[in-house]
Amino acid sequence: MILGSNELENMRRELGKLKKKIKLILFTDVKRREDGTKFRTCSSCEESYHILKKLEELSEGKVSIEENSIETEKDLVKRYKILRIPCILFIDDNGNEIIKYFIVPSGPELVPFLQTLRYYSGETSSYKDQILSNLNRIPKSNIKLFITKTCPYCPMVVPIVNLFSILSNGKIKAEIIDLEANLDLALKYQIQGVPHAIINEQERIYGLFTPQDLLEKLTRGKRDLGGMYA
Amino acid sequence: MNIDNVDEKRVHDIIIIGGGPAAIGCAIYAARFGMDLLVIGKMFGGMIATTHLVENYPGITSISGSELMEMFKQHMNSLDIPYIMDEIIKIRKSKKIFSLESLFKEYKAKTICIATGSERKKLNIPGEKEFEGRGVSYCATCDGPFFKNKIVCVIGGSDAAAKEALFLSQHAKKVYIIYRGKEIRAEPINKKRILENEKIEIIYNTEIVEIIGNSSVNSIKFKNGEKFPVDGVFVEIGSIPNSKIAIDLGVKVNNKNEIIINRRSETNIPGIYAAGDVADAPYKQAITGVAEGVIAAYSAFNYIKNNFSQ
Repeated sequence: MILGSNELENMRRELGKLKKKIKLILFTDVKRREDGTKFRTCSSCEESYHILKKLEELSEGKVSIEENSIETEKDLVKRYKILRIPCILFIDDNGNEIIKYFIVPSGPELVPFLQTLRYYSGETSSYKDQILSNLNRIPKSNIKLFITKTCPYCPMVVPIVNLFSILSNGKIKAEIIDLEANLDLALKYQIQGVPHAIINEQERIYGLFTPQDLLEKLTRGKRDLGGMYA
Repeated sequence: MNIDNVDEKRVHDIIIIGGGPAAIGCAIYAARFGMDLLVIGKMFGGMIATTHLVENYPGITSISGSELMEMFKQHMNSLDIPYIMDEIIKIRKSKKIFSLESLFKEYKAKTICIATGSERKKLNIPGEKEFEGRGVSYCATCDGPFFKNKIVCVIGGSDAAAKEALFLSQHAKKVYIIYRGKEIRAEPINKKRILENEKIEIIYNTEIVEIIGNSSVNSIKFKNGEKFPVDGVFVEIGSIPNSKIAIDLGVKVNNKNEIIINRRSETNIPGIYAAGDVADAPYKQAITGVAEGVIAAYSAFNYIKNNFSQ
């Protein structure tokens, strides 16, 4: 795939802001030919691989990518419960899952992905104190965020959900899911609108939401406002 | 900009509250005037980011709303305009300086441009909240593709409702525009497109009173009690200005709670300006919002020159 000059410029600019080295784990259907070269039959796996390799190339050593085959790396697949590909996995320092990306980070989803990398590398956010001060009110949680590439609100909420995951060190796990590539899940969760977050298989937030809205849902209204209102 | 880098003691020349075209127009001009500025908004983009197609922005024949906002963002970045994701909840004035309290910080400025836009009005009828995201939608661009070959309705009679219907007709089998008036208020070009589109039918003089379904929407009920089968309901009945912080400060608003401004984008409080959908201009378009924001920047610049010693 060919990345446009705008996309490459975005990549360079955002990668330059990474605070430390990061590693991403990519699960695809990669196989080897007899001559040793790799190939992927799943086209979105191929696209994800190329985008991540480009990030690695432009990052001046700050980003490293580890690609694993869903067919041969059974232990990893089982450990992280990888049921769909491509899957980009973010893990913490102990190898525990934080975020799973089930969407190719291209087009309008490239910038939110780059923002997520920045948060993952340690960049702080205005909501950091609020999220941290309310963590003890939030149980272990899972957020499935359904998005589409044509939805203009979706790129705004993806970094919000990922921020919560990263700051909670995986206590709140996030799954970013391309609805159009996972229509069975759309049916399962009866989703006809995006962005659509399913929280702990029960609560929902449909449409554009702020970090405040998400905090409200996760703490079930018991959040401490913190900051100057503490 | 990282909020941790904000100096709370610093008095900025201007703080622009908002993230849409009006705020950006003000910010670009303020930056070019060499003003010390901050842009603070809950979300970058504003309502135009959700517009499927913008065909009336001079210089651009046709572009999606989100692409247009991306261009605005690039322009802001080229001028190193600081944008902070935060929410201003109260403004106070002490002598000539304004203090803006947010969720996390307190900011200070000599002037403020309020460009907080508006939010979509809801129908407030049974079934609306229950089926949000499961047949009820406020964004055709976001959710239209989920209704491929289905029957949908657009509630409203504005040009925005007409454009939503035209967009939805690319996906749905049939689109009904349901309007309580006698004639829709779309731009002539969009009215013509609707009349020529076989998939779109307008139902006039009708209101819906309930949205019905099981796991998702399957029908609506009209005021006369009749049930009408649809798979999706798109609500486009206008918006409510986000003017609370202005009202609390004492800024004058009209009976629709829109901030009253003059031709210099000035409000009744010296040093406070407003622009865009939150203000009382009769025609709310991205280009007019940008213009009001630009004028606000000029006015703020001159106000500082005349009221603050260098």
